[in-house]
Amino acid sequence: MKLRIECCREPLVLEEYNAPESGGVVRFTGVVREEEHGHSIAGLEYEAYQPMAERIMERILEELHSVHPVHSARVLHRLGFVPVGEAAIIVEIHAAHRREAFQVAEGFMDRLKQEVPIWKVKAL
Amino acid sequence: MKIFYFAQAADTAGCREESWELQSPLTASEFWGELEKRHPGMGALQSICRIACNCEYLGPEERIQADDEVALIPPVSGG
Repeated sequence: MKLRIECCREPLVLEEYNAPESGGVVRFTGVVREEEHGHSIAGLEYEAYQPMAERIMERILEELHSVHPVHSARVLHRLGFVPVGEAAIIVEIHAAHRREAFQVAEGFMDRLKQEVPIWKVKAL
Repeated sequence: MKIFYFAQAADTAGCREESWELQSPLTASEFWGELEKRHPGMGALQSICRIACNCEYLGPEERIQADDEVALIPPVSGG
């Protein structure tokens, strides 16, 4: 499996990637909503324990890949202030078939929210 | 030992990182006791924070060594 995992402070851009062996491509984009706990916000501030976050994300993807084999996984997570309407995370999975791609994308997001040391520290 | 604090743990500690001189390895329980001594109020986070040691969650039987990098991990909320 090809892996790319990055935390960065700039707007997220994930360039197109053509893999002729992949018949299923799932891309999840997590976008900051205009409301947080019932209040209008301008954006969210994120912080991370970056070396551990990247290590745990890699491990989660390796574990999911061992059960649902995929060709590649790309994850970008933005840190710092993320304005409403912009992406906080992009996860893209390429697999031979859609089922594995969906399973890995969803499984990754579920585990990210339990295990990966990244925090929304405040709404602004 | 170097310690990093994040999110509400940083707010409670009043700093984002610090260093301690350890005379002997610490269990998780000893670490929390020491933390409360140095930063009163931190003990209240014990029920919600995990301890990471060298970028791995600390196992129940593991001890923190003098040259370890430790982090307090409050409930995460990425994505």
